[in-house]
Formats: sequence, C-alpha cells, structure tokens
Amino acid sequence: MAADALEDAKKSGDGPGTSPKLDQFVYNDKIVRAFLLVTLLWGVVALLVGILIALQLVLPKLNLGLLMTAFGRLRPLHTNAAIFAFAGNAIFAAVYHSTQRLCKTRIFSDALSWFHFWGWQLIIVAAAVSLPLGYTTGKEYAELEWPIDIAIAVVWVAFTINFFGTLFIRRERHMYVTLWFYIATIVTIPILHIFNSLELPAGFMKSYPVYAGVQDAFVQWWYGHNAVGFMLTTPFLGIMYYYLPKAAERPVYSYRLSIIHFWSLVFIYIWAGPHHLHYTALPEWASTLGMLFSVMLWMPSWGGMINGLLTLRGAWSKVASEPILKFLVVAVTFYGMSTFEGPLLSVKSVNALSHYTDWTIAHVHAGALGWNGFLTFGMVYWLMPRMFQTKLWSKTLANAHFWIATVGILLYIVPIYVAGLTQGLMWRAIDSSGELVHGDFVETVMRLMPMYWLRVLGGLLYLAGAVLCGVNCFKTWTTRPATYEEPVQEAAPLPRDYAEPPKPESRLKGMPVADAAHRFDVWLQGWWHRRWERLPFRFAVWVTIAVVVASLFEFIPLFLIRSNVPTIASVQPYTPLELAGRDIYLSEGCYNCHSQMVRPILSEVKRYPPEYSKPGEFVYDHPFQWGSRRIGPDLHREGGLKAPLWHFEHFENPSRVVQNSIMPSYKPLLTTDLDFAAIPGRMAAMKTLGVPYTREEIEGAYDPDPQVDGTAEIQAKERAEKIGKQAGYPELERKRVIALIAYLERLGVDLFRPPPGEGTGQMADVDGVGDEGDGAE
Amino acid sequence: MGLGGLMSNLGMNIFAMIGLVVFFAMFVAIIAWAWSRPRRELEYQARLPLEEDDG
Repeated sequence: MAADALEDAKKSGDGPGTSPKLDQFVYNDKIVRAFLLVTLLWGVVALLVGILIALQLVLPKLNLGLLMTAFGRLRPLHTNAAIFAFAGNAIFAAVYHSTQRLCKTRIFSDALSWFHFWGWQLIIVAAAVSLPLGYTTGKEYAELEWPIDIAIAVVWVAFTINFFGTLFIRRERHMYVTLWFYIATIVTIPILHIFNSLELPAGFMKSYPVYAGVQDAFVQWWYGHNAVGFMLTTPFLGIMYYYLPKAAERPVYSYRLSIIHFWSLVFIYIWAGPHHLHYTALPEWASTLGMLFSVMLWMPSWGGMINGLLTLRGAWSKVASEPILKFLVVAVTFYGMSTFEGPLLSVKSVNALSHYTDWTIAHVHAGALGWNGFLTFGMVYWLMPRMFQTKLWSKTLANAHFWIATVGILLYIVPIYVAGLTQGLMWRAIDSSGELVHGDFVETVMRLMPMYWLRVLGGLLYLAGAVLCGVNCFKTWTTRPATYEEPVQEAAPLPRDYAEPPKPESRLKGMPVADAAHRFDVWLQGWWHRRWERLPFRFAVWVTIAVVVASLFEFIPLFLIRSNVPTIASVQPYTPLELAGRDIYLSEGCYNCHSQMVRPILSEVKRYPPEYSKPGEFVYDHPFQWGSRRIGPDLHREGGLKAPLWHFEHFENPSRVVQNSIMPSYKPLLTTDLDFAAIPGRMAAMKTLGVPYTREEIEGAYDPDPQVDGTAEIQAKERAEKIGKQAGYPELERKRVIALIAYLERLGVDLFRPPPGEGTGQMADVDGVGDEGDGAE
Repeated sequence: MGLGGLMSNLGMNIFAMIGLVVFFAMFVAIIAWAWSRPRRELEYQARLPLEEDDG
C-alpha cells in the first residue's frame, strides 16, 4: 500500500494503532488481453503491407495493373496500419494495464472500455477498406475521410472519459510520470486531429479541407509532426517509464529529470512541424522557427533516453539474459538515435539535401521499427505471461525474435540511408558547365534498386521476428488456465477531506531581500506543481495550455498576415474538368511518389524550370499536394511540357514510354467513366471554401440532358480530340484519364500567364511580397 | 487598418523572438523548480511502479 495513501488514511481521523479501511477491487485485465492480441494482429498486417509496397518499388508488376493494389493507394494503408492500428492498440493495451495499477483502481467503466476497443477496431477496418478503394483526403497520416474522422473523435472522447474517470477515482494520490505522458497524449491528439481534419464534406466519402495551399501545408505538418510526437513519442515514453522499471526491477534513474524533460517536450514539440517544409513556399520565418525548436527538441528527447538507459544502472547483467530487457534497451537506444537525427535533419542546410529523399524514410523506420516496434514487443513479452497467467512459452524464441528483428532493422535502414544520400547527391550534382550531371530522373531511381532489394530483405526479417512473437504468444495463450484468476486487490481510498500541506516558508527568511524575492523562493519550492500532480484535471489543463500557446505562435501570424501568402493575379481556379482530374490525382495517392514543390535551389530549378514554386500559386489547392517523396519526379512545372498523347500512353504503360520507369500502370483510368454529374457539387463545395467560382460556372459544368454538353464535357472532348484516334479506346472523352491529363496540363502554368484581361505572356507580378513572405532564400 | 494589416506591418521576427523568450523563460523556471524539490519525495514517487506485485 502506498505510504502516501496510508498517511492520508491516518489523517482522515483514524487514531494511532487503528488500521485504515481498505477497499477491495479487481483489475479489468480482459480489456488488456484484447488490446494485446489485436496489437500483434495489426502489427503483422502493417508489416505485410509494408513489404508488399517495398516489393512494388523493385517489381512494379506487383501493382497488378489494378487501382486498388497500386502503390499510391496501399502506402497510406501501411502508414495508417503501423501508426494507428499497431502502435495505437499497443498504447491502449499499456494505458489500460498500467493506469489501473498506478491508480490502484479498476478502470472507470468496463462499458466505455469495450466501446473504445470495438470502436477502434471498426475504424481500422474502415480504413483498410476505404483506402484501397481510393477514398482519401490526400493528406499524409490523415487520409481517412470525414465519417471515419468523426468516428475517431467519438471513440477518443470515450477513451478520454474512461481514462480521466479512472484518475478521478484513483487510490494513489500522486500521479506517476507515466500518467503525465498519457495525459499529454490524450489531450493533444484530439486538438491535432480536429484542427487538421476541419473539412467540408462534398459527398459521402469525399471532403475538402477548409485550408488551402500554404496554410494547409502548415496545418498538415503541425499535425503530422505532432502525430509523431504525441502518438509515437509521449505515450511510448509513458510505456518506457512504467515497463522498463518493472522489467529491470529498478526505479527510474531521475524523477527530477523526468519532470524537466516532460514539460520541455510537451512545449517544444508543437513548434517543430515546419521542419517538414524547409525551402518550400512556406514563409521563411515559419521554417526558421520550426528548425530552431526542432534543434532544441534534442534536449528533452535525450533527457528521456538518458533516464531510460540509466534506469538500468546496476541491472545491466540482466540484459544479457532477458529478451524483454534487450528489446527495451535497444528501443531506448533507437529513440536516442532518432531524436538526434531528427534535429539534424531539421537544420535547413541538411534538409536541403535530405528532403524528398529516402533519408527521411530511413529516419522514420529507425524510429518506428526500433523505438516503437521494439518497445511494443518488449512490453508484449512482459505482459503476455502475466495477462495469460502462465509462463512465457519460449524465452529462446523471444531471443531469436530479438536478434532477427535487430538485423532486420539494420538491413532496412542502412541501405535506405545510402539510398537517400545517393538520391540527394545525384539530384543536386551540377557539372562545370552548370548543367545537371544526372538530368534523367529515372537514372537516379535505377541507382537505388540494390538498396531497395536489401530493404525488402530487412523488412522480411523484421516480419519474421513478429511472426515468431505471434507464435510465442499463441503457444503461451494455449497454456493459460481454464479460468483466469481475478486477484482481489486492496488499497485505502483517498480521504475526501485531504488537507493540503501548508505552503512552505521562504528559505530567505531573515535576509534583507524584497517581498518579491520571498514569494519567488516559495514558488521555486514547487508546492503548486505537487498540487497539480494530485489534480489530474488541472494538470491536463496546463498541458493543453502549453500545447495551444505553442501552436498559436505559429498559427496566428500565418493566418492573419497577408504578406505570408502573396496573391498572384494570373492564378485562377481550376476548370471543372481540371478539378475532377485533381480529385483523381488525390484518390490515386499520386502525392506518395510525386511532389509539387520546386524549391529555390539551383539544381532543382534547373531540373524543373523555369521558376521555383511561389506561395500564391497554391491558393486554390484544397488540399495542398506538395508531397514529401520523390520516387517519381516533381510535377509542379509539368503543365505544358508534354503532349496529352504522351500522358495518355504513360498512364497506360509507364515503362513503355519511360524506360525503366517503376510507376504502376493506370490502365483502368482509360476504361472507367468519369462521374461528370458530381462535378458541380465539388465546385460548389470549393466555392463555399472561398474559391471564386460563379454560380453560372458551377451550373454550366454539367448538364443532365445527354444532348447538351456542360463545360466539363466540352473540355473533355477537346482533349480527347488532341489525343486522337491513335489511342484506340472508345468514348475516350468520357474516361477518367482525360480529366487527370487536364489537371496535369494545368500544373504550374498560371505563373506565366497574363492576368485575366492583360496581354503579355511575361511572368506575372507577385503582390505584396516582403523578404519574409515568399519562402525564397 | 484591420488586425491582419497591423500584424503585416509589424513583421514576423517579433513572433519568433517572443516565442523564443517565452520558451526559454519556461525552461529556466522548470529547471529551477525541479531542482528545488526534496529528494525523499522524488524517490518515493520514482518507486511507485515497483510497489505493485507483477500483474
């Protein structure tokens, strides 16, 4: 029984020598077992999809010529499965297990627990079905469409009530540091989710974000980086702080350090998002701020790593014999590596090389496979025998899992680091005459193939390890007792009339200092934070304030200041057909391979002439499609470069048009009809979001009378005629590929058009540009 | 002049500076407070997960 609770019980009126009254209760471990099992299931699924998409890059035929199985639709399935299905369920298993024990109480509501469990699994299934079907918002790690977004919010509310309810009925007054990290996760995730998912429905599974262009990019990566921070870092630090001491049978090295790094992490993480947008059209001040705070983030991150590793002082001998400790130690080590590498990648000059390359992918996977994966497996091996009330079936198998998976991680990340550096250096290489050394983009892709094959091998080894874990888990489960015991726990309730300890006295008493100095010294003794640690709601409020204040410092200027997004008079909204084509670009997940952002870097402007991308070119882009990868070339200046027939043949069979291309075939786009009737509705939604379509343009886009062509149909016929009868596909003007070609032909051309009503073809003047406004170096 | 115009005229550097100052002040305050806590109390809090029997 906690000394604190005993002390409280004594204070509640029981006299000396009287035993305090004890409550009896039973932990709900059924919910923990459920989350544990689905963690393993979804982990294997996420890894399988990961291996499939890795194979698709080396064997493009594995895209199977179907839209549902193409890389662009499957990659989001992999990322969502890894983050929300595998890591998400692992987090919930840990939260339900450790929170009950740290609070010495059963979970607040069994009903809410099961609602949370089944709700989350249904969300995962909805994602698994909708993403391959092409229902996507086109925003990374936030691809799920609005009905699923609402479901996520509802399930998260249930989880929040359940968690805070448990804190309110706890029998341990002090909230251990693990609970702080859980609180940070639980309050921050909905803020990120809700604000990034503000979207206007334009159909049952179709929506457009309220933000556009530069602001959308900023919000997306405020969300994206903090999804990493508050879904993949803070809850896992909470897991580390509970399960590492338990496994090592040692208390955490420095509780003081855990306080410092918790608050630093929570405050600094939020600012770091813009480091995903260096040298893009994001205003330079935002990019610099993101870099600065990302570098500062190194400190609290390493605070966590140091605390974790030094917790093992005096217990290092156990690591050699215990697979659980091996997983946990290597996890914390990868955390340290990734949180050093992250700030390094945030430095603009490093980022100029690494952005869009596989270096980012290697960084992500070192963290995901090493930190998140290994911490999860360590926790699973620790929990399994306890939750199934039996011994672990095979320690040898667990050790084998560890070594195979470790080799797997190294075989993944080392080749992909090499691939990333190769890409970055090849893209920027310029010869003595000032021309690109590797002007052919596909040449740079081909150079990576050996590394991509090694990555597949690394992934297969990691999957093999996960399968061993699954076998071990299953065999352990088979030796479970016929009925699980439900040991009755005893703990004294917290007295309702708890008397707060008095404020401490000033240590400067008797010294000739001002009153303010006395008050500051009293404040320094931290009586107020000790109160917070006993008051979960107030603690949560302060975490929320830290997160919101940090966010507002970036949001407010970006949204209020006109000069941040200088308008360009010649940039006009997409035509109806182009808008339909853009929706196809989104649903096929083209952003997973192609970027649309020419950075103001010499080699980049040479490769994608004639100008780098300006912020004002994206004002009508709901959502933005700047991308974060270049498995294929950047497309922002694609408009006008190639004839429609070239695009047509390229979508039909990319490798026939571009030798060695690894792009999948999009032949189904040549044979499936475009939904012309949906176009006015999409334009109306855009108009609501501020795109200046007129009512006539919207109504004229499509005419239900089959004898009358709307604007979109007229535009489609014009394009189909340009492609000509060589194509050999009947009724080409009604097919989806025509719209997609129209969109590609529009990319990047507006900058060089005269504004409406003017004559010349010179590059348009950009309004209201300040030195900090246009993102240029 | 609206709020947007006013903020446009102020320029961006001020936000970066304010943010950095706020963060740094917070960081110093947190360190000062954490270092002033009694050791015994922290040791008790650190041992909380180990009080429970495994399970």
